[in-house]
Amino acid sequence: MSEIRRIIELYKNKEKLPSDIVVEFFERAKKNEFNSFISFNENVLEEAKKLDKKVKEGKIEGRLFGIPVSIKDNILVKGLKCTCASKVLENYIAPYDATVIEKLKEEGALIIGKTNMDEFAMGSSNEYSAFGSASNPFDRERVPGGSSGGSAISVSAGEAPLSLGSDTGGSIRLPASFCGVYGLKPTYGAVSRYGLIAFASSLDQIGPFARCIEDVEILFDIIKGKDERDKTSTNYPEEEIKPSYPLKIGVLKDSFSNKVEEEIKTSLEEFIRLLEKEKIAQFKEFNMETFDYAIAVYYIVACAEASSNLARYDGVLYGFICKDNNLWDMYEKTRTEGFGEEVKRRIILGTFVLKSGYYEEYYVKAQKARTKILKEFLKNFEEFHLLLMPVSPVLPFKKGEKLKDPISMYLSDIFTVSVNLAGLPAITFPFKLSKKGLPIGFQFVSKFFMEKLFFKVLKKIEKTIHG
Amino acid sequence: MDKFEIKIGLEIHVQLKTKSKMFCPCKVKVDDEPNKNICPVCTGQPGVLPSPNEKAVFYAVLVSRALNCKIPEILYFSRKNYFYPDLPKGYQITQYGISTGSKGEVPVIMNGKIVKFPVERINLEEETAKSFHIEGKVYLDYNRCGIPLLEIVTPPFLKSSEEALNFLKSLRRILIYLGVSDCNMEKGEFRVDTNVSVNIRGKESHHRTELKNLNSLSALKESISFEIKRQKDLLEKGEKMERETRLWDEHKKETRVMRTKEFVEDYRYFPEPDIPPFKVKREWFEKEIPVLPHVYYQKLIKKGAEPKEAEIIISSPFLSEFTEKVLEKLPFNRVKGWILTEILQHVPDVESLKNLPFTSLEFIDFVEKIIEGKLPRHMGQEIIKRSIENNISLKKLINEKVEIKGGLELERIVEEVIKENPHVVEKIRSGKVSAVSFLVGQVMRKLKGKANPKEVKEKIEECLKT
Repeated sequence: MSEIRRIIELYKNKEKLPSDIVVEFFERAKKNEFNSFISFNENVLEEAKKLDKKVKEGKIEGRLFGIPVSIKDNILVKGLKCTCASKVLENYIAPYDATVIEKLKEEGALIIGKTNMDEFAMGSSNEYSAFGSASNPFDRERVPGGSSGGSAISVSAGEAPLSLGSDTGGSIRLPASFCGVYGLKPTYGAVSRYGLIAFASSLDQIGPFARCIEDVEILFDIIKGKDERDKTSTNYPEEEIKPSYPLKIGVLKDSFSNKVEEEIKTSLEEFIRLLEKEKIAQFKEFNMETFDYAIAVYYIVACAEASSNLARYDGVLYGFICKDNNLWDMYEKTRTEGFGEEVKRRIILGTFVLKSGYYEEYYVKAQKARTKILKEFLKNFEEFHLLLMPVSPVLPFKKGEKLKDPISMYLSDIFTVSVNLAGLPAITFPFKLSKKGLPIGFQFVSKFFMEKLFFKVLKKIEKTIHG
Repeated sequence: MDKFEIKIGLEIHVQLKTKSKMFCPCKVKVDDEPNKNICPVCTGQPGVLPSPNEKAVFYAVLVSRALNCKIPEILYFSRKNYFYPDLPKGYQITQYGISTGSKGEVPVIMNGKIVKFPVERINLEEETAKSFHIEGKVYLDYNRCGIPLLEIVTPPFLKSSEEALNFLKSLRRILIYLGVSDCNMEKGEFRVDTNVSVNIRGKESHHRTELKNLNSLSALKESISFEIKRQKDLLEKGEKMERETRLWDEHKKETRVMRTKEFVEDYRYFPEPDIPPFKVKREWFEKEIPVLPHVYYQKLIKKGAEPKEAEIIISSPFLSEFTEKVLEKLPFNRVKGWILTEILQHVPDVESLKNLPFTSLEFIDFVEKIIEGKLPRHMGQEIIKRSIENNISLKKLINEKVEIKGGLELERIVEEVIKENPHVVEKIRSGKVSAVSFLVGQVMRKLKGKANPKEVKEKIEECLKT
């Protein structure tokens, strides 16, 4: 059931007050059992008490009235620290609210804290955080997925009913899958990026985490829409969508390749059989010729943009600084000591591919490949309403397992990155637990601005599977 | 043919006078107390995004149109990546690969003629912060950071310091006429970097000198001349030259090495992902381009102005328009003294001409009165002076002189009274000064008391002296 509806019912019936609800979540969150939070909003109780009065007066206004929300620590909330899980921003206090935060506040949401992540959203395991790795609530020895690990954990472990994260190459969908919750990566441009600390500007998108599809829909509906401060944002189409069942869904051929863990494959088959049996969908395999290139293209584009986006952390105006009488030594020391290994690796990679002489070979070529990937997706959408594939080729892995091998870490994103390169929306559906009790999630991909189709279809699937 | 081949190229940076900055709503006001007009966007805080100022894009298009540039249908910005404390994002948003304007020309006034010099490209970009060095410390003022900046680049087509100077004078005037910048060089609103390269004809080499610290047009001319001579001397001696940046020393009147460019900085340009490519709006092409200074110049020459006179007049778009209207009614030689000497000597600077307290029609009427003898020349000079200094319209001053304080009328009546009373005049001239008061009384009576007795007395004394 919808957490949002449940809580607002409690307020309407005057069974509970916002401060009661906040205390419940805040106390659980503050224990920080899984290291899912980097910092907390110490004023949240006071903010909740202001809403208590309104409940007593029967003035429950706003779609998120008195609903606690956790926010990934790369989204700015005015007056709160925003570290991006990096030493360079360890003590940085946000001077303004991100557009999505303004929207949440207008709807009465209460921000309880800032969640752990891979430094600058670069990583798939949440192990590259300057403030320590986070733990998967289903097995503390294992990673929660990244980069929005903390957001996924907070929703999964009941530390917050809702969370906002960001997805550049799978950073919402992967931890959602590893932690057994819903996670939506919206169409590029559907949600304003103003106030999201940029990793790769042409790929980044903010999106919601929730425990049911209805809450994902409510949260997405609030944050979406054109923002004058983000020129890449667009007006969201208003039309209603009426799916006709059974839907035609394409299953990516590579879902069953030897790169994918056996149990994920059998679960996917099970999932497909179930939907066919219920006459929700008919399935057919489809092939993506560009599939094998997606990781390479992604790392060129993302790292190139990151190398430029992260140039501002130079110690001059704010953030971490290693003082030195020589300007160039100051820059070098500040950035060497301030950034973690993975971030430096990507800055160097991005700097390299933009160098004159290499730019055409790498960046320009990658952009062309990107267009090709999009075209291949769009071609498949001529036949299918939705596409289905695993979120990750592997189940939540053990901490430390992939740290020494960045390439194997990068490969955990093979099913997610091409969606970002194409700018399409995709959503993680938490299907079941593995034999070892680890969550398995699948990913639906749709055409641009068809998030409403996800909501309609997944409500039906959710009802069928989870009751 | 000269043994040497001289190539001079210019790179001009112009601050556009929009109300707000290039990518954020901060005010464009560099003179305010330091770091007053700043926001998260122009100080490069985490998470911010740029929103292009449409007026600045329009200005860039207007300049490109005025200089006959090719303008693409779709524009986009790029990032120029480098580290420096005056650049808070670690990159400058500029144009690369595609320019707002390319392959244009500047109509340059040279020795009384109009010569067209090529412009390679016109790019729109953002200004950096201003740094101050005080007692070994560096201070940064971000008021300037993010102001829209136009970069105008010429190919190395100029051959002498005179050509460069005339080019810059003409370009600066055009920009002022277009209303896109005040181009105040002292304030840094119009900055010039110069490339000079002298070769022995037929023996091309890749050396070139970039000149910096040119804060005035005269410094620019002197430094180019110095540099040409320096390079010629070195060539004569058979010495090799490199690519280097040299600084102009205003006191010693010489250039000295700032840095040699052994390695060229790699700016790692790539298209700005935060600003999608955008269409150049049709309506930007519909707006009329103001009449350019060289057009006024040519008209003035036709009407008989000397090149120097014409150049003074076109230094101000207001004065050009004013003079043009006056010349519709009056010939140039009848008005040139009044405009070039009388008006100009009383205005503090060319800028303030636009605040002249009279219209061209009033001025025409004024000059006509002088031509017709209704207003003596010396009185006209005084009227112009008082009009500009006290901000009073010409019409009002002429009327005052004539009707209230006497003025024309006073002079006529004083002369009349003197003629009518030769005996009294005789007495005064022979020493009986007190007899003046009789004449004052006579004048006052004829003016029906509409004058100041003190002024009348002065006027009588003045007339008796001559």
